[in-house]
Order: sequence, then C-alpha cells, then structure tokens
Amino acid sequence: MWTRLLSLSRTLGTPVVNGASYAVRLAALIGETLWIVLAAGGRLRPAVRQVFYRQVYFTGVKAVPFALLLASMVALVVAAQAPWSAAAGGGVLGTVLVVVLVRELGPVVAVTIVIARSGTAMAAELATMRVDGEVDTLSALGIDPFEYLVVPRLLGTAVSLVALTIFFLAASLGASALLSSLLGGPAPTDLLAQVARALQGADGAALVAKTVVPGLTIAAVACLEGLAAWRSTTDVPPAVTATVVRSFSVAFGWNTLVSAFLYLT
Amino acid sequence: MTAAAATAARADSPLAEVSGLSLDGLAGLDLVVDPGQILHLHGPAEAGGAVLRALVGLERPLSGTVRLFGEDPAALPRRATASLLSRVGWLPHRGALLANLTLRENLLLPLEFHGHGDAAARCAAALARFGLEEAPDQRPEFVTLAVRRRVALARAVLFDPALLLVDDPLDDLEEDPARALTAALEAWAREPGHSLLVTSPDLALAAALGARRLSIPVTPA
Repeated sequence: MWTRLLSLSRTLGTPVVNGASYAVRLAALIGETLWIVLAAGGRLRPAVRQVFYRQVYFTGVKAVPFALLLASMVALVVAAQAPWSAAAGGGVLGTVLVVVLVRELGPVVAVTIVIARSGTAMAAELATMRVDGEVDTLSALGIDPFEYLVVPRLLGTAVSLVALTIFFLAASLGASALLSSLLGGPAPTDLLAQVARALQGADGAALVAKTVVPGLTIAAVACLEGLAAWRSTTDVPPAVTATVVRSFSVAFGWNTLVSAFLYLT
Repeated sequence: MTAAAATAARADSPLAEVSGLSLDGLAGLDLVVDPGQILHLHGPAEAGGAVLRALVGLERPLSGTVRLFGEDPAALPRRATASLLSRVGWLPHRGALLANLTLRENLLLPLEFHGHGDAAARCAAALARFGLEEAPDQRPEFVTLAVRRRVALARAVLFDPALLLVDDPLDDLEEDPARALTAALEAWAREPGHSLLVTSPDLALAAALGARRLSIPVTPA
C-alpha cells in the first residue's frame, strides 16, 4: 500500500517538480530581460537594437503573407455561416466573431504561426551558435550573450506577436465581412458594427495578456532550449522539438487560464 | 602609449596565472604569462582549448585556481566578467565568427557593443592591417578558411589587448596561409605591451613564434 502510494507520488511528483522548475527558469529569464530594459531606461544599445529589428522583421513582417492566408481561410469559414446567421435574424454573427475569433482563435492562430516559424528558427539558430562556439566567443569578446542574444529576441517576439494578432484579426474580420455579404449575410459595415458592439473593455486587456506573455514565453523557451545545446550538432534537433512542445504547452495553457479568468469574472 | 601598454605598465603582476589546474583530461597545470611574453602551450587541441576556456571563465576547473589580470573570471558577476574580458583578445578554435553577420559586421559588433564612437574607422584600419579589404561584406561561409582566420585575428586584437589567447590557429590551414597567419601573430606579439598565449599541438609554431614552450600535463585516458 505505502509502496504503491510512494510510487504514485513519484510518478506524479517528478513531472510537477520539473514543470515548476522550468516555469521558474522561464520567469527568471523574462524577469531579467525586463530588468535590463528598465535599468537601461528603455534604451537598448545600437547593436542590440539591430538584433531586435531583425527579430521583428522575421517574426512579424515576414509572417504577414502566412497570416493573410490563414485569415482568408477563417473568413471563408465565417462566410459559410452567413445563411444561418441571416435565418437567425442576422444579428448574431458579430457576437460569434467576437467570442470565437477575437477572444480565442485570433491569439491562438498568431501564437501557432510564431511558434512554427520563429520559435523553431530561434532555437535552431541559438543551438547552432552554441555548438559552433559563437556564444562563447561573444562572452570572450566582453559581449554579454544574454543582452545581445536573449533580450532582443524576447522583446522582438512579444512586439511581433501583438502586431501579428492585431493584423490577423483585422484581416480576418475584414475578409469575413466582405465574403459574408456576398453569401447573403449582413452588409460589411453592419457586420463590423455588430462586432464593435459586441466588444468589451476586457477584450483589449485579454488580447494584450494573450499576446505579450506568450510572445515573451515562446522566445524564452527557444532561448533556454537553444542555449542548452552543447558541443554537437545532434543537440540541435532536440532543442527545436523541445521548443515546439514546451512553447505550445505554456502558451496554450496561459491562454486557457486567461479565458477561464475572463469567463469566471 | 597604447591601451595595451598602459595596461601592462599598470600591472607588474602576471597577466594570466594558473595554478594546479585540473580539467577533464588534464591535471595539475601551472602557468604564468608575464607582460611581453610569448608562451606556447603544447598538447592535444582539446586540452589546450579547455585551458583557454578556463582562463576566460567559460569552463569551470575541477580543481586549481585561475587568475586573469588578478581576477577569477568565473567568480565575477556576468557584467564584471564582460568588462574584464574586453581587455583580453580571444582567437577561438576555427575563429568562431558569427555566421549571420558579414566579415565587416563581425568586426564592428564588439566596437559598437562597447560604444566606440570611431567604430567604422577602427574597423577599416583592422581590415587594412590584415589585408581584408577585398571581401568585407561577405558572410563567413562564402570566404576561405584562411580569410576567416585572419578576420578572427583582426577581431581579437581590435581593442589592442595586453594579452591575446589563441587556440590552435593553424588547424586545417594550408602551408602559405599558415605561414602568413604565424607572421601576423608574431608581428602583433612583438609589439610593446603585448603578450601571447597560444595553444597548439604543432611545435613548429612555437619555434616560428620564438615562444617559451610548456607542455600540458594530460591525464591518461
């Protein structure tokens, strides 16, 4: 009996302890990043700013075509509901768009894009830099690898995820309004007015929470996993895999918590 | 007086001092690098690299002490370590240039990071000194190993350090580029206020540099 209980507590306890320890490391990484930015009065060194701009370009700007493609697909799905919406009186589609798209799907799609495109690339790049001795070289040159490699990636990913989510929502709402009107739904301006009426003040706060925190977290996971690679190129693929799995777990878990908090309050 | 000479003049104490150093694969290494000295550390490439990594605080010794300009780099806070290491030149094994930057950007990065206002001029001077004017806007993967190694040397001496640490610089280089790199290293090391610690399994390098030789006490496998 006691042996079984002990075995059960070990089975359950080890992942919990490991998960908590990982969460603490992520929090420490994010906390130190924010501290460095605050201590510098928000002014990054020019060399660090360059890395930040590159990160925003890669994670935000270069993801626009893919986000546009997904927004079009979402709009097609929404438009397919137009006849149903018309039959239900025509006033519900805006509310459905806010509840499903703005509050839930938008941030999830943007998080997925960022993990798939940037989290993986970041982990692979940092792991390769580590294995090739580039990270050690930075240290030996008196360049703090944390400040040069980690800080701009976290900030760039967070900024990009916020922007990408807003872009995705704008594109999918706009395309949904146009396509719905073609399939017998409300006029585009009417549908957008319905959306505006259904939005609440808390939606803005939720959107920030569902993008800024996952943005920081995805980059933090990629940095942790990438920089944990050691002396062989065989360390690179596991770093990428771990980044994908852990980023999805943490980001989706966080978004679920925010949604639950919103609906419960 | 150059920065290196000023540093050397300030400190009569050794620039680098290792006592009873044990790392994975080597045990009981003692060495001292005094101002103006050229020291060749002879032994397997991995062991030599590990000693240099320990000197700059990138590898924790199993036992023994390491001092760089009188300080233990591994025991300093991260920012203080960065400041200490900006006084040391480092030419790692195979150069380790940043692959996503051009050769020029590789040189500019440490200058800009440390806020040197004359970064562009210093970078141009370094490119000219090491004969690198022709392909500074290429990325490292598109130039020869010899060019990459020269860029890594140029980057290592950008701040005119008092001490240059060099890890197996001739590895995989052909004869002519190896001779040219050796000459560049020797020319730098012979300038006043400069000291050089080079590790290599190649004894001919020690002879070419006129270096004092020291063997790494390797532990049996």
